[in-house]
Amino acid sequence: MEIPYTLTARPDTGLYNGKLGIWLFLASEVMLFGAIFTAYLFVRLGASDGTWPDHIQNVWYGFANTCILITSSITMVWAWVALKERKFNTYRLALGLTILCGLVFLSIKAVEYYSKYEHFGFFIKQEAMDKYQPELQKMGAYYGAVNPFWKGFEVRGHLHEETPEHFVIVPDQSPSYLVNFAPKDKADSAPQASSGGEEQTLTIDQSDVVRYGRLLPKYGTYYAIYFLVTGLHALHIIGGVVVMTYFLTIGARMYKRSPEQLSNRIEVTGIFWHFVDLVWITVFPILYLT
Amino acid sequence: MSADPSHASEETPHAHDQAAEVAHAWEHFWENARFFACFFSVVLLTVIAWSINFGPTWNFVAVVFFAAARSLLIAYFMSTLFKQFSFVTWTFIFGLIFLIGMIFLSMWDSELKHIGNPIYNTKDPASMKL
Repeated sequence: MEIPYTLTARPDTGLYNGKLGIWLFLASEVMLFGAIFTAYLFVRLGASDGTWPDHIQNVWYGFANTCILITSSITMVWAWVALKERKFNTYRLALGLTILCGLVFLSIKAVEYYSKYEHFGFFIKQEAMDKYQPELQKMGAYYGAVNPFWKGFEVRGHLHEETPEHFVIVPDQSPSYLVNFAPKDKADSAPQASSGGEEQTLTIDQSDVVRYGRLLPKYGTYYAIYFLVTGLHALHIIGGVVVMTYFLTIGARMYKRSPEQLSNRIEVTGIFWHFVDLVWITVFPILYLT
Repeated sequence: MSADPSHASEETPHAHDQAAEVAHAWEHFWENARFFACFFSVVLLTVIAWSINFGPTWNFVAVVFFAAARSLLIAYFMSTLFKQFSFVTWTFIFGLIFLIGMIFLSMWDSELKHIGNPIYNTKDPASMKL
């Protein structure tokens, strides 16, 4: 039995089956990501002043990934155009480039995740602030505002040594603007890092630490949101790459039997890929440009 | 099957015009390319602006300006996807309106500062305690 409207559009909806299916699927995806972004909004707005991390992501990684995903959207449409023109080799080249872009995106994401895994954060007791603050300022190191919930302030960096009595860390430098046009009295007065070549270490007594851990989801709300959103997005990228790899290999056999149906399938895959792209360009300013 | 001739015509599949479909596909490709060129520029400028401290007022202006530019470009991109599919377009537009509405109502009904808790008596907080 032949299934109707797999090739041509159904007159009343103007869509063929696959396209209607993908739009319904994307409607459910909008609800999924919409719920997560809404949760983010609540958590962010409900955070106490000064406790939400800022300038902690590598913006250039995010920027590179944004450009890669937008490029992949173009190559995806190029693959569809090539199929419409019945240029099979061009189709394979364009789809191969799209898959490559997806893999590069995932590789950059893996580097970012690894840097979070390597990093540690320490919440130090509020009353010990006087003990560490002068040295942190001298080093131009980052330290957060006092968190009213944990009654402590945060220092982040690489763990150099851990003993039962103390931690030796290489603290992260204070985030600062590359260029400062603000009037001097209103500009951020973040201390600048010293230009010494050697890594500066800070010794923190274990007894002063409220809690510490790697910058992974359980470390704090921001990291939980960061990993949830980017992880879910990465899963979509993986899904897209798997589907495209199928259409580049086994699924490409359909070209001989029904090139128009393969073209429809690639169009539907492209719509999904555009959606994944749109989610990312929403994620980028929310999580990176903060 | 149907006595209504207009209904019968609705069931007739659209004729397949390969040349028109190729032209449509190319049009979509160039729309994507234009989007890429514009969005790349805007994101690059956003990142550069983010790396510069213009001062509290102008930082805010820069953030709003670039957010608006990104939103407009995304709206343009969405329009290139939806322009032929009014059924889907309207579903999405209504979905978005309801989503914004839901977010607003949830915030309105929350404890968030300045937005939520509409019946809270700020002049006499003691009166609100149970």
